[in-house]
Amino acid sequence: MKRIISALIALLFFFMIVTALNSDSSDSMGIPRYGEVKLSERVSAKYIEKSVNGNEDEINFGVTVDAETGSANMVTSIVVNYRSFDTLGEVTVLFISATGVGLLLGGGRKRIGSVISVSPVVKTASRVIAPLLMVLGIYVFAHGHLTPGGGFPGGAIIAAGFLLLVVVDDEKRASKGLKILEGTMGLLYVFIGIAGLLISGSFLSNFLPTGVVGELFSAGIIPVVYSIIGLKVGAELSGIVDDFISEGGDEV
Amino acid sequence: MIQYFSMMLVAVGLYGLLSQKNLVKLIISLNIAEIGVNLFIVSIGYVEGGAAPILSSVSDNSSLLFVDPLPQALVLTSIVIGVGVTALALSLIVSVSKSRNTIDITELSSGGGDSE
Amino acid sequence: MNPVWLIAIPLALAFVSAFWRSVSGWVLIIAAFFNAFAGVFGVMSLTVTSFSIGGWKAPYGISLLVNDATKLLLPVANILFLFAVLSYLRKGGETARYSVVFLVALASLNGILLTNDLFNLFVFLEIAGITAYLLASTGEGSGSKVASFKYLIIGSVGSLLYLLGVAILYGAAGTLNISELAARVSSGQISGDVTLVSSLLIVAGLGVESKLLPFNGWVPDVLTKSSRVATLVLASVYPLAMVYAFSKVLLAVGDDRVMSLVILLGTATVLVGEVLAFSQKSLRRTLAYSSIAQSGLAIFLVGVGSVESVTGSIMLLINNALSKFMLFSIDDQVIDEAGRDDRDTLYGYGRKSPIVGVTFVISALSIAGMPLFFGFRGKLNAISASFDTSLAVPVVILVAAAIEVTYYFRWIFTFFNPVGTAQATEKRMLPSVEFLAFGLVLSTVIVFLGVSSGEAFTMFERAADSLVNGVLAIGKAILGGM
Repeated sequence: MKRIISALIALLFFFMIVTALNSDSSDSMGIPRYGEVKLSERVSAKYIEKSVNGNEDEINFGVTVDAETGSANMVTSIVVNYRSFDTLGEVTVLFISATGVGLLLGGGRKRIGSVISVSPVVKTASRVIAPLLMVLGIYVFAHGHLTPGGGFPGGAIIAAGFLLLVVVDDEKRASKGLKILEGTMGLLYVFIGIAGLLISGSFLSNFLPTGVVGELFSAGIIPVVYSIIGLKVGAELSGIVDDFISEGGDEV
Repeated sequence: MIQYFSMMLVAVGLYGLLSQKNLVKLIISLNIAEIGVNLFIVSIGYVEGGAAPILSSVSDNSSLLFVDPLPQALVLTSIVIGVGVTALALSLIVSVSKSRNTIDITELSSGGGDSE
Repeated sequence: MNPVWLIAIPLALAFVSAFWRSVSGWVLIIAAFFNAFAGVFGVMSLTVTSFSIGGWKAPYGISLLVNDATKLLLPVANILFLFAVLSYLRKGGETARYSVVFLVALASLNGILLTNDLFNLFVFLEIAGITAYLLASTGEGSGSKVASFKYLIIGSVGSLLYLLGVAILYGAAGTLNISELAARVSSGQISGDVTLVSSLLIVAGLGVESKLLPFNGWVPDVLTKSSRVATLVLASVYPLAMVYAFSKVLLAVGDDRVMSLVILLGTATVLVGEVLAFSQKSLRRTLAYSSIAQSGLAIFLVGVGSVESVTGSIMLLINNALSKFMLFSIDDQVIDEAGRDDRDTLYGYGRKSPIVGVTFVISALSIAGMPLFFGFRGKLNAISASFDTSLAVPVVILVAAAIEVTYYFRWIFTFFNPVGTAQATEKRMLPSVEFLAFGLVLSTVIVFLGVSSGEAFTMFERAADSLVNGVLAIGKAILGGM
């Protein structure tokens, strides 16, 4: 009985949403047909052209100097520059979740042993692969303004390297330095914001020169911020893994 | 088409949330619904024939046709928030299961004491 | 002063106390003091203006809006938070351990009050939600963790639906700025189907945190099982921010049909809350259901949508924050002394500890809406606004108000009942110093606002006007300049 009611509610929800799709008509703005978006009606038009401040020149890869955000990856320019406050909030969400996991579960000295026995071949191979994973993670967040990815996937890949080490080795624990790294990186992000406030009058403004679009050293504070975020997320997710495998903490 | 599929995913997730009793299955249903919503948001931004919104040696001029980058930025944030909430929920489950030895939501709600 | 400092300082201090555990208690106090002072002196002197983050003009960047409503609510929220933190300074314990959570909660509540962007609101709602789940899990034993888990599931579904509503609105309108969306929606540019569906989703999403029926299954367990300071913050400051967010968004982008639904849901919430509160044996559960009813009343007034009713809503919100703070503190005092808070324990308590008794009377009567106290003005507004809607609604509200007055008086009589048992022979108990200080301040404010003449109320009217009309005006300016 409960399942039938649940299924009915879910179906009701589905049909309600479907009525709003395909509603674009001539006298009012609705959701356009799939693929027929008119970008000029949306704020994104100015994000692509990098013309929020009125500069209407064309941006050319590898040629344009001192563009608005300077980042070749437009999604990065939105995430770290135009809507950087959202990213600060996102970083805070991860931070408070990791802290919460630590408060609820962590602090134990012992480690939960794994039930799978791992052969020495796997152990040795993992010790080679894990550092490679971490280097890949660092590459992803360092090139966040040139290629897809950025700080969050980069940090997740670093944490995956840590997870690999934890799974194959029964003694592996995270070092204390992870918490310090996490905290200082977060503090640095807020300081960059405050520096922008003091230098240019608005929080989190881009106060470094933006260079040539497409080079590694371009886009002002964007690579700096993404590196901060990448290291922070890597440390945080590794800390969460560490909290889940610990035992004997001061739970209620 | 993909918009309908993503809404179906959300409906599946909602069904799971309303009918399941196991705590872990509730979290999985929540994740399925979140995936559906994220997929829908990305699909809002699709432009037919547009390229990925990155300036590179292939698409090197900003006046070419690009896909809308804003929904992708929104989804980036939403995925990370989903990860954070899932981690917190799982740690709550571990904490509850240690002191009550059950992860069935009906058994937990109907009272009973801590078995530790 | 740029209001970003209200968000940036607690956040920065939260990151510091993550790795420097020993100073975290002090850091929390510093941040609470800074926010309280900045909230009062820094914000009051600003003229109505929006601050853009990152230097990008709205709607291309995120902007923080400081209007008459935020100038009223920000100081109240920050000062109450400061009081809550100071209340349990000496008892230490879990306040110090959870100080990171409190700091992030402070930052996120300020963010919710200030932001003028729909997606930014979503992010801050999530942060506030996660801190609320953590604060809810602080009680002893596993009951609080189960309550927190249920809260988490319901809250996450709510924010998912809210995000879907925002996405649909963006797909149609192309912008995320609340002011610009207000202008577009009111001028009829957006198709009716889209506004209907997105408003429904947003009501569902924001209604979870605002304790609206049928999304408020989490409230009784969470408010009764969490620990002291956490309950204080969850019951007094959080509803302020959440219901304000609800009003801010729905008055801007809400569809008229959905507003009628909101009126219906709000009225139902009030009735159910009061009826359930009537039969509770424990003071804490009574207060929890009373909180549901107060939120329902405030949301009903938002649904009506006129300047007069929104004035009442803001007054109710502030009254609820002040009075519930006092009431929950009193409940804590009682549990401290006697271990339980059911009716038998409370017999004659007010005679043994007269200060506690007097403050209970003041806060309870203010929530019940008696004349001479602040709550009376809000209730009056509510009832007169309800006559604008259909005829059944005022009847329901009056019935609910009658029930509320009855059970609060019952509790007051319990407090001052001379037929005490063995406990009547004990000496008079003095509450803690902090309780005395805050009780004095808050009771004075409640009585002062209750008896003062009409001029004091123009500030509430201006706040409501800025919510109903001011946001729209900014939006039209943005559209005109584009």
